[in-house]
Amino acid sequence: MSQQSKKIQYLNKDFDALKQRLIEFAETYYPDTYTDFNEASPGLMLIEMASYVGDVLNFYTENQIQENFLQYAKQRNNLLTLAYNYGYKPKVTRAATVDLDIYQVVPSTDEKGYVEPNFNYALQIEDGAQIRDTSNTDIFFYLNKDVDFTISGSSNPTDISVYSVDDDNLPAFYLLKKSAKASAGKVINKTFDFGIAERFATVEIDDTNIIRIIKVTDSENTRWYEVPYLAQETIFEEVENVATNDPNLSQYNNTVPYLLKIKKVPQRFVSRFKSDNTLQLQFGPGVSDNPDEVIIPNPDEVGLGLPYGQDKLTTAWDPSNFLYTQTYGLAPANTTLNVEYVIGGGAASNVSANTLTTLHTGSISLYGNNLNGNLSTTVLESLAFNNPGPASGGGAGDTNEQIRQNALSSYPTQLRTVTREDYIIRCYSLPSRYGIISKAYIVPEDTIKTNFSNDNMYSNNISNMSLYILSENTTGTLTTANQALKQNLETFLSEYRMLTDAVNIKDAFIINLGVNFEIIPRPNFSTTSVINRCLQQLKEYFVTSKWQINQPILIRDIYTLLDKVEGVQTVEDVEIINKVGEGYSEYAYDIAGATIKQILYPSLDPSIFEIKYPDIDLQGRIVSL
Amino acid sequence: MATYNFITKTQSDIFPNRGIGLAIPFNGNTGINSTYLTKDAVRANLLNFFLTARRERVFNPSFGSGLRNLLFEPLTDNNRASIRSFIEEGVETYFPQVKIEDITVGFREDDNQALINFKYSLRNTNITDELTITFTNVTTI
Repeated sequence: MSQQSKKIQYLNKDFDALKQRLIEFAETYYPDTYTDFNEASPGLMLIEMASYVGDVLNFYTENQIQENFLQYAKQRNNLLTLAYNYGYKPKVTRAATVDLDIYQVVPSTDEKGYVEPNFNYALQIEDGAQIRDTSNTDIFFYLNKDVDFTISGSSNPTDISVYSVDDDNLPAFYLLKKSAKASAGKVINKTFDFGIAERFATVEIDDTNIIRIIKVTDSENTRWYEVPYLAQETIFEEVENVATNDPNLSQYNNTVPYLLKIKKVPQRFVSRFKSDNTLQLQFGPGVSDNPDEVIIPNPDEVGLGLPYGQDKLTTAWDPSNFLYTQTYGLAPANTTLNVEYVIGGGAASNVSANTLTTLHTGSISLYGNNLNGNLSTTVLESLAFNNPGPASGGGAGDTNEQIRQNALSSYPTQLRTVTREDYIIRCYSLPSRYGIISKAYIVPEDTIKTNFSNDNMYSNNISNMSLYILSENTTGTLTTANQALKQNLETFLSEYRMLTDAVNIKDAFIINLGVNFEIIPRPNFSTTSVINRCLQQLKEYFVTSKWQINQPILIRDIYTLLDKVEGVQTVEDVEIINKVGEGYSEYAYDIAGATIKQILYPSLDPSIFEIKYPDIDLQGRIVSL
Repeated sequence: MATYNFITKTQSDIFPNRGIGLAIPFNGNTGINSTYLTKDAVRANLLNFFLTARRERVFNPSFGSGLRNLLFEPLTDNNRASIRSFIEEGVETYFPQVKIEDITVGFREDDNQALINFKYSLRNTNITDELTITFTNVTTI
């Protein structure tokens, strides 16, 4: 008797379907061997166990597929891996930025025959100096760059005023004031010991609110540089625009204080966040101090025929030498790496104005030598800080969904900004140490007014664009971005924008609204509960993160939303009112004029609707039939 | 006038070479032996039910007698009644064709043993059988 061919179906995936199919299979192919499909039979128990295994295997098969696609992945570690793969670097926290005013007094001098500030007593503060919030001892800000009171230029001016006068009414002390940018965060140092070189060695920093790595140095004080991927062997390095660095360009240092240069860095590493928000650093595999040309053949050196040229055609190369090149960077060996990094950030770092006044730590020195001791003490004690405006840009890190959406959006841009969406995602990708953009909207300036001498013309120059942005404050409500944030964004975008694009960064308008509604509840429902449920639905509907600049409000949607709330019989009325002044936006808006066919349109100038204080701006009332 | 008592012979028993279910306990070379008579199949199913604990069966947590859970209870009359109730409830749910004839629950306190004797018949057949399970350190049947 020939072996009967058995038909196997592959469409069954879950327990019930597999069990049913196995029963049918047994009934079809083993009618004389097994016929008891009673729930209590041991045979059915075995069938159920096989179905269970099949269900589990199918689950894992589908889970593997799901977790391989960024669109569907659920587990944070997979989302992070895929996001890095797509070129997006997730954030676990966002740091606020602020403009700091820094003051010091200097004594006067008349060495030149007239009274002027004695800049020998000017202070030099190294970047990284930490300033503490007076009201919250957990909030620290650090200076992003050195502050040098001896230098004054158009881009970095020093304001000088008379602080006090002597008996002859001549200036005794001058007050110097400079502005500097500071970012929220506390600087931490951690060391890692390395013995024998290990290829692609990794170390982990177990803090969970890391904003960025400032620098990594080894025992010989050699700096290790962070790169996006190990194969990138060069970095941009900013150097001071002084004569020793570039004698030709240093004449422009008033307007260009730093020069951007490319530097080849064999000592490099990459960093990536893990699912528990800790940071992993990975180094390269190279273990040779020799240049690559010494340990592997270089085709460029063959066939030149120059005297004294190196061809090394007769050299026997060890194939394993390729494993020791610096293609992916050097591996640290027999050294101790000191990692300096910043932690902190979050919404709490959006501190109020006039709170950053206490110097916590910092490296501060006087410019001159052989100075008067008492005067030096007076000058050092006079150093003061203040933030005239509130800090902005601080916030929580990326949620899983934000990682997914940001990674999907950043991938098509290929690190270039071409379309509107490219610009918007690039704004949202601003590294957290430079602040956070909550909302971004870009439109081409198709009617740019150009100022000609005889007449005014309008040009259709599509390359000019207006980028409207908003940031958020401590409470998570929208606010305009401060100048520091805008400047950071401008610098950041310049790395990616197309040569012919011109972008004007502007503030979007915030229109604060309130919603009053009237409902008729169903009989036998608690009116308080029904109103509370309605308010909760409206709060979720108007949560700021869901709204974009220039997004209209469909009032009919609010009716529908309230109508679906349990206990609501009829929505009698929904009224949207404008909230302006006294804690709200300064811009009034004609709600009635902007509402057409139950749609509330935003203004022509890009604006966003916001319910600023949901607890008082949303009000409901019960009315009777 | 004669009285006729109609007894249904199960279809499975008409073909004695046709396998019905699997015998318990699993033993022999393959571990799996078929049952060929309804009486043996029902007996195996009952054993499977009695020796399965509640929530033991995947995706079927209510299946099982739960008798093992009573093993660590004191040997009292109340527990004797509970065991009887467990058996009656389970048989009624999962074995509608089984009619309970008698249940005897005995305790041997010196040996820490519980002995359950269960007599039953299959409705509309002339099949009767008896099952004895001894719960001790090693459950025997």
